[in-house]
Amino acid sequence: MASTLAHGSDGTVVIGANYEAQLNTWSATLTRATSVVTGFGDTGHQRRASKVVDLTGSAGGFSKYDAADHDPTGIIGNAAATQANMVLTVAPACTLTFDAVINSTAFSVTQDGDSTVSFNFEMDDADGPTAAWDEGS
Amino acid sequence: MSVDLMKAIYARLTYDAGSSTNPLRTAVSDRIFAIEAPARTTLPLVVYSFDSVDTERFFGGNIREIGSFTVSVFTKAEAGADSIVDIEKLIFENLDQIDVVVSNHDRGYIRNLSRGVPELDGEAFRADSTFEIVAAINS
Repeated sequence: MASTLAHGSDGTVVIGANYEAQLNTWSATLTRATSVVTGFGDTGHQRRASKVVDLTGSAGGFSKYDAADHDPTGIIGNAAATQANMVLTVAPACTLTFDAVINSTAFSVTQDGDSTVSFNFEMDDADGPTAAWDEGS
Repeated sequence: MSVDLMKAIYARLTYDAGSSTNPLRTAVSDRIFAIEAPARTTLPLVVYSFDSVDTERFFGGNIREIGSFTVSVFTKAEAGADSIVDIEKLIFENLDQIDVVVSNHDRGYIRNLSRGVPELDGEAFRADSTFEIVAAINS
């Protein structure tokens, strides 16, 4: 089956409920720790990667508000410590789903410019992210 | 949809501040036009037109439009510089930091980017002020 090139407009992001933002960008980095296990006699480095994966990232856009008393995710009380179920979508049916905590929320408001917000998140999921990558769906 | 933005600007320029008119309309005797004025229209008059309309996209298909537009005022040179400055001031007061209703959008907002400076244009005085209108579609 032919592959389809994804573009940014295919994407979307869900970072829990009532995050009060109109988002238009996200980024995420999956990392594993690696160890150099090069031995005597080797003429090139050998490495082993950890089975434990980490995922950190951010999502950004513009602040929103509504008639209800909704606060942006991660800034009220102990909400920053509360897990949020996140779904990062690259294209329809191409998603990363995981639980995460939001460790920082950054606002930027300029009087003659924009009112932006970004959420930084870190994975809190013992099973790691669940990836679905089926362009045929 | 720039036509919605054009209509919103015209509606604001001609809004009813009482007695079916506003200070700007009174100053130019309702001679407010989009893009160009009819030939040989009496001065003073106001013409507005878009310089650009940019689209910013959000996940889910929502968009935000940012339109940059110029409002030009023309007055008779013999009326003196005071005349055109007074009308330019009315345009600024009419359009700067104003919420407007934009059809098919959830909110519109207009703010001034640069004030018009009088200059001689043929036998008339002319001053171009630039503004920005921001409107978002959330559904």
